[in-house]
Amino acid sequence: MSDLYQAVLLDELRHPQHKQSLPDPDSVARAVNVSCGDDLTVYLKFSSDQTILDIGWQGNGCAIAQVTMSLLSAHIQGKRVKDVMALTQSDLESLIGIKQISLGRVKCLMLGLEAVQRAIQKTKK
Amino acid sequence: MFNPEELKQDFPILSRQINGQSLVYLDNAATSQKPQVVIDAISHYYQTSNANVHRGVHALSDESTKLWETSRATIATFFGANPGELILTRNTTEAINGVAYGWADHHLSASDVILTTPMEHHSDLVVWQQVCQRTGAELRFLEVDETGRLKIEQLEEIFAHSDIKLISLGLVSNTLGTRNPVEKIVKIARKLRPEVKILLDGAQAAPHLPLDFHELDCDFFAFSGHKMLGPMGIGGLLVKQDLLESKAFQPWLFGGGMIATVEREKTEFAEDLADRFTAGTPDVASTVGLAAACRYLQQLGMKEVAQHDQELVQYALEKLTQISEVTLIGPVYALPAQPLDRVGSVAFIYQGVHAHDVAQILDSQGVAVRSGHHCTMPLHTQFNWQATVRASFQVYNSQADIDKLVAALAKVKAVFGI
Ligand SMILES: Cc1ncc(COP(=O)(O)O)c(C=O)c1O
Repeated sequence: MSDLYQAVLLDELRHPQHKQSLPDPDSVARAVNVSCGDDLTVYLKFSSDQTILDIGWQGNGCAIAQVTMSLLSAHIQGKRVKDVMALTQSDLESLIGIKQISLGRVKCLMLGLEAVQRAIQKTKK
Repeated sequence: MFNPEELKQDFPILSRQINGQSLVYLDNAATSQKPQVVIDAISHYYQTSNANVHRGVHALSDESTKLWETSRATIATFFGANPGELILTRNTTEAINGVAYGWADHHLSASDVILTTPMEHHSDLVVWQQVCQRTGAELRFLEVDETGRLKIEQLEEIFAHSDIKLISLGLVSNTLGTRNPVEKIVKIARKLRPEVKILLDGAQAAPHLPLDFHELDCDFFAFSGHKMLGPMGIGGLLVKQDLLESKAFQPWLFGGGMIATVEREKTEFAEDLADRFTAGTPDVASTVGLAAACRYLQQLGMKEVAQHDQELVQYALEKLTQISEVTLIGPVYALPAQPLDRVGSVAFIYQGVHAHDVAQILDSQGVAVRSGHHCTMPLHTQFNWQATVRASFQVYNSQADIDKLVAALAKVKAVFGI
């Protein structure tokens, strides 16, 4: 549990990466966690070779939601869309350095990825 | 007066260690813990008396039926109701749905108004939204002010402009802790429109306050056993006897047990009130368990239980107002010449830290609280709260538990470096 709030994660919370909207994004998607009011919006730009050219995000939520969103943003920039679609809960757990998130926080952990994957899916339609 | 630290010994779960710390359980508004006598009553029933009720002539069936009937009587009496007025349900939610199907659907139509409040638990809101969709009735709200109290002075005005047929509101709010002035509301309603029906959601009142169904003078009263030291899966709806006898209130579940005679095309329902509203095999073990919980509370004395709760609420408010990062929600001060109208819980926002993070750090200190919207999303939206942290009390909580909560909150400050 204590590792959930270790200094490095809290530092990430105070200095989040990519926390801004992108001008002229290729896709925008929002994910909301109704149980706690977490609310994230993700902006994506793609390159022609099916990779993530740039990502931005905005919103608010608990530390888990925000820190994961921040680290995820840095992680997926330049990655292939296909690989981003394949990311799972355990990928996010290792990204933030937690062995197993408690059941009650899974939604918080997954919220950012949900928004990202939703944004990708939107462009496919 | 009982000693909460001694009562802790009656609740086996409270001796658990959580994250290496002694459990401080402050999530009682979600569900309370169960004393050994309740656990024993349930297992004893299965070990010695289990059989279906009303269905056999054999000794066990007789015994089970008797246990069920005496347990029902104990529960009804606990609330000052006649046993015939008690319809057993799974919980408050099912009880409120019962009023929707058993009364509202039969009596409401377009241009009728259901009056409720923005502080209702979703259980007492979503049900009425659905009734309005089915019947064409309209939902209106008696508003709540910034201190978390109902704007009761607007009630007469609302009555003047709407054809109110049903008022449904919580006696105690599970989010704000507000003890609503239901006596005043009932009195005004009865004076202005004698035929109006009143439902009180007693989920958060039943665990803490001495209540008398007839004195409250409401038509329907809903409660959950699991919040008042009883088992999960059992609760009840109290319905005024005359509404049952006149058949204005009708059964909403049909099948075995609730019938007098059944023919191929039609059925006469049972005249006995308990039977008429008991379709199918009842949860006898949980009924027996809830009766044991009622007896446990009665032995403590509900007046004492209420006084204990008031002491804890006052103490928690005092301590929490000293923490500069904490913003309390709901009534914090007493109204002029009236006692503080808050029961059972204190909820707050911790400046700069999300409620979930607060709750998680408290958990790491062994302190269990609720975080989120507590099933009152419209209220959170109205006041622009993302999520709140709620500490809620029971007979086994002591001031020492609140001290531990306060100490654990210091940890939040330390971790987040505020
Ligand atoms: C005021 C209020 N009403 C209704 C309910 C619903 O109770 P149950 O989930 O037992 O049906 C609750 C439970 O939290 C409550 O606090």
